[in-house]
Amino acid sequence: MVPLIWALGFANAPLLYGLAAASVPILIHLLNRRKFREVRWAAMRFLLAAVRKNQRRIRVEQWLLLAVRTLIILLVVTAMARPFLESMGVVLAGRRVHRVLVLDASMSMGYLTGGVSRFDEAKALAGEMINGSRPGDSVSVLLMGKPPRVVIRTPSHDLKSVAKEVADLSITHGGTDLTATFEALDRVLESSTIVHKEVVFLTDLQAASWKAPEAAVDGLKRAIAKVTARQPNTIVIDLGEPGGENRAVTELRLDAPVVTVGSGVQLRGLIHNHGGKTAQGVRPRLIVDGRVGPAAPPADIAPGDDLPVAFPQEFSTPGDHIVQLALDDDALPLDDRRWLVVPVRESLNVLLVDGQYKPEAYQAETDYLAQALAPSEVSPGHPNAIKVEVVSESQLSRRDLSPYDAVVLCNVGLFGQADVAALEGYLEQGGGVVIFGGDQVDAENYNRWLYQDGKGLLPVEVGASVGDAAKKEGAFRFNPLGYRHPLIADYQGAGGPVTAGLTQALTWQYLKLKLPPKSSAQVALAFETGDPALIEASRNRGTVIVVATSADTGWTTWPIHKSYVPIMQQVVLRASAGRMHERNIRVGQPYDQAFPESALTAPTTVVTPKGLSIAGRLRPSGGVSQFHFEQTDLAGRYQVRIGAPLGQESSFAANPDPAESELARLDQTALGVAMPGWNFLYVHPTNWKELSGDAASVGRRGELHRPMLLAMLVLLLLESFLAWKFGHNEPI
Amino acid sequence: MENYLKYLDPQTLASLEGLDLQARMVVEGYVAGMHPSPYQGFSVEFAEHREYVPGDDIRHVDWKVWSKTDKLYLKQYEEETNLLLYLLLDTSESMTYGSSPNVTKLDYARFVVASLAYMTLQQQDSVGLITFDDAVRRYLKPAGQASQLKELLHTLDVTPAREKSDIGIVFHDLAERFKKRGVVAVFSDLFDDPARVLTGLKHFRHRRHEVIVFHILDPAELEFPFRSATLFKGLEGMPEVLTEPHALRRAYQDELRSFLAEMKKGCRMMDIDYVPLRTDQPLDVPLSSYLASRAARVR
Repeated sequence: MVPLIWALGFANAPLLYGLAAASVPILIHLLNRRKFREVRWAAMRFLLAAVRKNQRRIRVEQWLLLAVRTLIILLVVTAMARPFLESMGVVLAGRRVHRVLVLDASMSMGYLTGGVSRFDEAKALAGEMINGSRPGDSVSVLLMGKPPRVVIRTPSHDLKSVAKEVADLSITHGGTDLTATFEALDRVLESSTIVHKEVVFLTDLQAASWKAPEAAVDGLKRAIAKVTARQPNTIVIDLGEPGGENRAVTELRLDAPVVTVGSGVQLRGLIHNHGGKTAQGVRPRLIVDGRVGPAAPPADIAPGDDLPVAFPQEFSTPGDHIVQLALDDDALPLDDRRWLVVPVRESLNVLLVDGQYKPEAYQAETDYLAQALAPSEVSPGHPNAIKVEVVSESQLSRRDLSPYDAVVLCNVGLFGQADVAALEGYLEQGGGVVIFGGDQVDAENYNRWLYQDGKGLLPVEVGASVGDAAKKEGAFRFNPLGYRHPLIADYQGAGGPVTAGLTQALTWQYLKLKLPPKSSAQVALAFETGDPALIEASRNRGTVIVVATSADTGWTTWPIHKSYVPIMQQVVLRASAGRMHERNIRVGQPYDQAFPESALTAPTTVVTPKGLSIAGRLRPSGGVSQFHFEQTDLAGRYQVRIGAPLGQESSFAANPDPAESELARLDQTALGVAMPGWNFLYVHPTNWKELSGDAASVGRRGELHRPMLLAMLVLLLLESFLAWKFGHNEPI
Repeated sequence: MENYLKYLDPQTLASLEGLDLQARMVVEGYVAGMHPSPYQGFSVEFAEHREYVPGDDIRHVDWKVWSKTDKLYLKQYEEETNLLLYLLLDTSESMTYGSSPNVTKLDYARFVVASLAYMTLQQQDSVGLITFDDAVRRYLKPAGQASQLKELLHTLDVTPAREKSDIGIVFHDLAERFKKRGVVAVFSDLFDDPARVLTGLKHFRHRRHEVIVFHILDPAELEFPFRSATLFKGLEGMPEVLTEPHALRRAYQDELRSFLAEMKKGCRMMDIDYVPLRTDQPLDVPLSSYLASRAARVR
């Protein structure tokens, strides 16, 4: 097919100024005409006769030689400017190409073969492609990750710099976001005016990287369609290999939502064998604050099996503790360790807001609860892990809530705008809010200020109360719903006498809580009627827990049953856990932490696992100073340093997505299925060399400098011949 | 005297002394009756012996041979007649051309003329000199006295180069003037219309003169060695030409070659000796050529 329009392009267009040199032979010719010597001549008659007969021929010869010499210079200069033909609108090899190199930087690319990671292999191959590019080609570079990173967006002709940029790339420890990658690719392709586009994916085709989550499939299809509409030639170079053994630490967690000094906790880990052979003698070991702690006995793990490990641990000092669960390195060392930042508290501070405050013992709404959380009689040497403070309803709005880990609102009748703002800000900082019902609760006020038609902090709509505590007739019992929820999970499998402490509690009156449709709130405990009794929901970074009945014995006998103390402690711990959960994130996820509003001007620095210091900033957000950090593409511990006036240092840990440890791969067909509507050429690296060789030879066809130099050589020979023929170099 | 000597280049003459000048200078029927040679009988040279036959003049019997062999032999002599040599020198402006480092054509011609005159006078022959351009400028009558050389050399020395040559007319004029038959030696570049030149020469032949043409050319005129752009200023009223000589070289040489060929052919047709000379050639070349030519004529 012959292109309709051809355009001439130049790789070194500035050299075209050298075309002025073509005037040199003409100038020499003209100057020669002005410069001559004089000779007295006797044999004039013969000269005149020769001139008369040959004048015309001489003139033609002169112009011919002049034309050849000028053409030689024109060709040399034009060839130096490296011209090439570019066709418009018709696919044909040998034109200027905008090549987008997409390097898979997901963790699985760190798999080592012979000491070389797949990512290094991808970089080397990308380097070869850049070096093999023809003049006039331009290159963009995109890192396929979660999130993807556009390394070079505007097509660069400076191939050396691009090669250096690629050589400096480092792998992320995260997964991939296919949709975002294709959207980024679309933006990169959009930024170039070069008609011929080529996209080269360098990937191990790990199934986990190339399968979009169900919810994202539609978005991915749209993104692929946008990229396809730009008609790039797409090549997928498969750097992966089937098989491959890999053990990975897939989980490391605490069994307690909140850790306080001296309290014994269990650190639980999970080791998974992703390979096809039994992993023998796996020895997971715990490293706490840099000190190697206890190691689990060596164990074998069958293919596809998990090895759960548990280490009892007690933290003796408050502050952030860094726990690491590590294995011996295998071919994919990046997933052989996992970090956990454990913020250890001296004690938990809980604020109880009493809607019916009375000084007499067990007359106030919060007396049972306070006693359950912080018993007044404790064994010596084991102080209470929870400290409670009781204030009346009227003091709520004047309190700074930030020192408290949880705020418990017991039978509070009315809320105002200021109260709601304070509570929202508090939840924003990761605080926990627990709300108990009671006879003072004004459903209309709750729904207006707290529920706000599903937009407020209350996850349920409050209806009229059910039952009548005054008559104490027709009591309701709890339905534990199979003890599935963590709040009451300790009772799972326990004997009848133990569970009786929960199931025998009688409730005469409760608030009817209505969950809105599609609510993410979880019902931990219900009444026999099916109405929710205990609901847990996330709000901002904090947790809201709603109890449908009262905190004291006004509506229910629960406070005098045995289950009340452990479940209430669990409620407060889980409500407080928001401040701890946020310390452990997935690689690639942004890290957010809320600080008091006063810290807004404080200088902020983050030290990455590689020891790199990155300056950050605090931004005001709903009454708090919000710290937001996005460069979390490496696994490990990050330190956040907030300078004066706050003067605080904290840590968080980023861990790889366990799915990235699964090395199962897609083949060419499966890739086509996983990426509907995507046209690509699947190439194995060994075949790539041949292909690139062909491409290079094809590519040269579009370049004109070689034929031009050949033509120049021919003209040089012609010039010598003509000069000889015309008598220039005739021997005398 | 110094001036005269420069024409008598001893080196040239040295190369001549080995030649048998007299033997080759015999010119049949050229000793003019009205001009008896003062050296008659004296310059007769022995040639060979012949057996006596009755009727032979006994004055020529070699008695020495008879006394030794008792046989009568006659001494035979080659008679040497007096030679009349007309030297015709072209002194037109074109003869003043000389490419570096060569002497001008005129100077070269002067050397040859002087040498020939000297040589001729030494053989007791008569020599005359005529210089011409578009007309006869000087006419030194042929004479055989020793003083003739001085006269001739003086004439040569003062002869200035003049305007353009018209060889045809001059030759016709001279052919009418030369009353006695002799040898006419022409020294010229012959830059004139070949037909006219040949007609003039033909006139000499018509008058039964022996003619020898020394065609003198500068090497540059033959080889045309110019490379860069050159303004050629024509002599003898010819126009100027600015040209790239390298491009014209072959064409010029073709023109010149055809001219030379025409001259040579014309001369041969009229039984005229044609001697092409280059001004970078040693002076013995023309003299040898002359003598060789004379010897050939004698035989």
